Amino acid sequence: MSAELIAFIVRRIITATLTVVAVSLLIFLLLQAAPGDPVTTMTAGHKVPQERINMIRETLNLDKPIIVQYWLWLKGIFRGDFGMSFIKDIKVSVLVLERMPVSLQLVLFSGLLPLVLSIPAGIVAAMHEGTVLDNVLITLSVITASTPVFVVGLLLIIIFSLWLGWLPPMGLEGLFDVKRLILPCLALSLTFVGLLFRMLRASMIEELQKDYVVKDRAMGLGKTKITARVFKNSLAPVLTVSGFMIGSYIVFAVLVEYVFGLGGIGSLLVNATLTQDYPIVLGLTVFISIVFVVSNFLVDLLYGALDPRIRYTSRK
Amino acid sequence: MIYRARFLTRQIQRAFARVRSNHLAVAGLIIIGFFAVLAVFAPLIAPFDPYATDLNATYEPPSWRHPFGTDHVGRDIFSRVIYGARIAFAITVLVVLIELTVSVPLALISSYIGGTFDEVVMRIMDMIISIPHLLLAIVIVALMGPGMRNAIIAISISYMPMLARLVRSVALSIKEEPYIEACHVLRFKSVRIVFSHILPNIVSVIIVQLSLDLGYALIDMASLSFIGLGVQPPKASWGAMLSLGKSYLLHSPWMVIFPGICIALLVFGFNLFGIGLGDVLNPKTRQRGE
Repeated sequence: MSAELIAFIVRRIITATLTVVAVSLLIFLLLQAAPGDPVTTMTAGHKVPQERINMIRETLNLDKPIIVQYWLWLKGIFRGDFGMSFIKDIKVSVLVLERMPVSLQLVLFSGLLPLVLSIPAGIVAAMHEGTVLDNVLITLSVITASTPVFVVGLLLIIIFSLWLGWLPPMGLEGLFDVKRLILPCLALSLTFVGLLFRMLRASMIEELQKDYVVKDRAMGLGKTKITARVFKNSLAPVLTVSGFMIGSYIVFAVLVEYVFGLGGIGSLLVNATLTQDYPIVLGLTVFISIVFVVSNFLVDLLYGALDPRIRYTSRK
Repeated sequence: MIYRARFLTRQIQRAFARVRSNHLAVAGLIIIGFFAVLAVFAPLIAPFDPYATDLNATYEPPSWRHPFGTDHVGRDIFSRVIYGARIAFAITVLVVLIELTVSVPLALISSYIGGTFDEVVMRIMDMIISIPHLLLAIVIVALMGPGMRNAIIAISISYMPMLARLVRSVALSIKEEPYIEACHVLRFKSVRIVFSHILPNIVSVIIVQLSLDLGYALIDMASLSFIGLGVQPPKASWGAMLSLGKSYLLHSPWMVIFPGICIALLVFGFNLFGIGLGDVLNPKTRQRGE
């Protein structure tokens, strides 16, 4: 590792941390502006003596000024403590950790399919630009990218569970329940197969016009070799855009979990928003933003590895 | 003034001619047009009142009388889907309009003024962008309370940073063009430079982005409605119908199939149109095509 790279990493870690803090402040302030009092939500209309209410306010730090509340909460985050749920008497971090494995396996398994399908399709389409095959692939990709993940999920359940009876419709039993994971993973990945395919195709077509390809052809380099070079060089732009896609990928996973009743982080978030359990909403939003920021950071690093022209010096 | 009007009409005519020659854009327009007709003439086309319940005809599968079947209280799904087109257009157009009116002037002014103001605006945008946009919309709706109006506001807020960044980056490059310098030399007022000399050159970029945002807005609104935060159930919106149909998925799948296909089809139309328009208006690909 060069000193340049280390300086770049340090700088990025600092900006990433600042971003997360800023995001958390933004969401914290938004939550303060929310109508309704948490204690009222908790007591849910029951009559509770004033002393008990005061006690609850004290344990949740609700009696302190907003800035102090934020500071206490922020300090907690760095220790992995996201506060207590308003509704269930349980720590947010415990709830999140409990449901983590389900979401993780969904997100990781679904990530494979877009890579496996879109890379060959993208290469073929770019090498045969303008042909019928190219147009068919483009149309298919626009269709998959246009159908919302939860619609895909619902239709998959109807086709494969209700009509064909091949796969169980919903739920999950333990980890690596492959039979029940197939449909959710398919639903989550289809949108991104289309998006990734289109980006790779566009990037490769642009790369194919460059002078070095003409030179390679003139020198009589084999078609496979030229394709391989062009493919490698067109990955960098695709990577940048996929960094942005990670965000929607995570949120779409939330929707897929809801469709298939998987009981991961997604279902937790949806239920928390509907029941106004703000600590969970706040904690999960910050958590997802951290994942988003960190994965973009990794994408940046990979980008540099793929494109040697990128120098890790500050741009200004 | 007359010269400029003529220039504009000629530009528009040329753009139309190019859009017509682009198969993707035309196919997209046909699909959008089809749903627009459904939306406008909904009362004439729909065979039933979309809100009329009929407890003698609940959970009916598709038939001649009810082409798309009926739901759990016997409402005709075909009619509800047709009326759903109205809500779909209202939502997407409103989201895009709000997004447009806030982020375009903001980005133009910020890029023109530059300095600290620009820096602050862009840092705020960066901050918002580091929350995935649909998640931001979910959080905002969760705070303001579920419902169609709040969901529209939330979704348009979540789109603003992207458009603002895009407009700003193009505006910054145009700011350095010689003809803008000429405007400075002629001592034109800043407002005039920004809105009648910079803006017209960004319009094509904005239009392409907005036509794609129409599709995203439809998906995001349906997503919010699906998890119960957007349009609320008795309303005949496609997302709300899906949310309801999910409970009867294995029993009456037609409650889900038809609204689901409608969302996908209209988004498909918006996307085709947006991609085609991008091809037409992007100078890079245009040079190659002609």
